[in-house]
Amino acid sequence: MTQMPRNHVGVALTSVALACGLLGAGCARGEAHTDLVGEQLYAACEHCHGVGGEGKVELSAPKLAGLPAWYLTRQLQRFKDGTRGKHPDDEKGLRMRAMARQMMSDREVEAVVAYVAAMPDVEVIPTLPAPDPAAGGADYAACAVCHGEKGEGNESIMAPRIARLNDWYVASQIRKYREGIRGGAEGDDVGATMREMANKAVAPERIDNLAAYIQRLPG
Amino acid sequence: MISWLLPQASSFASTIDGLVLLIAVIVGFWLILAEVVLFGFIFKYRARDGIRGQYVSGEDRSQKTWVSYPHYAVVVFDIIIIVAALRVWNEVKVAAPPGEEQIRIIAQQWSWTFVHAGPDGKLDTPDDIRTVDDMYVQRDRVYTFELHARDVVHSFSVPAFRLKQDAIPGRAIHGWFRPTREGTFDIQCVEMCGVGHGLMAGRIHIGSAAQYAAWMTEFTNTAVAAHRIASSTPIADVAAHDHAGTAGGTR
Repeated sequence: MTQMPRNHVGVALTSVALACGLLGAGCARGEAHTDLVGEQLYAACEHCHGVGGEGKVELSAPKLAGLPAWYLTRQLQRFKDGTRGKHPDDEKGLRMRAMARQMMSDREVEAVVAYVAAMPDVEVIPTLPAPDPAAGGADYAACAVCHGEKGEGNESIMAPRIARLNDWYVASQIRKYREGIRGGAEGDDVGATMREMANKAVAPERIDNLAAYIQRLPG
Repeated sequence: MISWLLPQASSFASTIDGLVLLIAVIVGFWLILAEVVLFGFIFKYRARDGIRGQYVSGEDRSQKTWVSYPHYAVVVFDIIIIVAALRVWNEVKVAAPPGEEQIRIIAQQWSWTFVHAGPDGKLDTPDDIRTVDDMYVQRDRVYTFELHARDVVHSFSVPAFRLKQDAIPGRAIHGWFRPTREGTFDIQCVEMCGVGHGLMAGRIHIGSAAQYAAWMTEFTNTAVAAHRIASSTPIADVAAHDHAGTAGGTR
C-alpha cells in the first residue's frame, strides 16, 4: 500500500475541519432562529413602518409606536387569519396581510409585538389638507364612550388607544369601516360594532375633522 | 415522467411536459455523448513518456469534421425542437378553444383577487363573486382568463397547469385553461414584485360541476360583503382602467 503524501494529508484534514466548521455554523444558525428576538423579526416591518415605528405616509404604513401590545397582537393575528385585510378593495390591507404571515407562530408574534410595544411614542405630523379639529371634537363624543375622553383606549372592551395616531390613517380606517372594507369579515364582532359607529357617528364630509381631532388627543 | 413529481391538472400540461421531455432527451443524449468523447480523448491522449503534445490548428479536413458534424447536428435538432415548440405554442396560445366561462385575475402586492363570473358565466354582472387568494373552477370547463396587475409586474403561475403568464399594470392580458383533475393546487407569483414576493401564494380549487355549484351558492348566500361586487370599487376600477387603455394614468 502506498503512503499518502504529507501535503495530501494536510489538505484532507483541512477539508474535514472546514466541513465540521460549516456544519457547526449551520447548527448555530438553527439555534439562533429558535431564540426569537423581536428586533430581528421587526426587520420585516421596518421597510414600511420605519425603524422607530414612526410609519411612512408615502407607503400608507401607519405609526406603530405607542400602540398597546394587546392591540398589536390582535391585529397581527387578524391579518394572518384573514379577519382583517382580506377584502378585495382593501389594497393596503392585502399588502399587510401577506407581511403579517411572516410571523410564523404565536411566539414570533409575541416577540415582535413586545419589541414594537416598547417603542417610545413619536410625534405625528398633520397631513390632511385644512381640517377643522375643533369641529371634529363634537363628533368624537360618540367615540369617547369606548376609546376614552383622551383617546387612551379601553382594553376590556377591545377599544384601542387612538390618541396621536396619524390623521390620514384614522380617516382612511373610518372610510373603510363605513364601506365595509374593514370590519365586514365573518366573525368580526368588534369590526361590526365599529362599522355601525362609523356610519352613525360621523358624516362623510366631517371624517377629516374627526381624524385631525383624534390625532391631537393627548392619550 | 415529469408528472411523477408534479401532477398534470390542465388540458395542455401533458403537451408542455412532452416538449420539456423532448428537449431534455435530445440535449441530454448529446451532452452525455459529448462528455464521453471528451473524457475518452482525455484518457486516450493522456501524457505519456517520450511523446510530445501537438498543436492542432484544425486546418486538416478530417480534423474539422469534429466541429462541423456536431454543428450540423445542432441545426437539425434545433429545427426539431423549434417545430415541436411551435406546435405547443399554437395549441396553448393561438388555437384557444371557445371559452365556456370567464374569470378575472388581479395581482397586487402581495395577493391575488379572483372575480368569478357567478351563475351566469359572464363577468361584470351583478352575480360576480370575488375571492382573495382562493380561486374556484370546475373540472373539464374551458375558462378564459383576464389578467391584470394593480401596482407592479407580477406573473401568474399554476405549476400543475404548466401555466405561467406575466401580469403588467395597465394591460388586460388574456389566456385560457381547461382543468382536468379535481383537487387543490398552488398558485404562485413568479416575478419578483417586492419585499413580500415570496408570500404571494394562492390556491386553485378544482371541483366537479356539483361541487362548483355548491361553492358559488355558498359565496352568493354569504353575509360577507367582500365576495359581492359593486358597480365601481377600487378593484373593479383596475379592470375598467386597463380596458380603457389608460396605462400610466392614476387609479
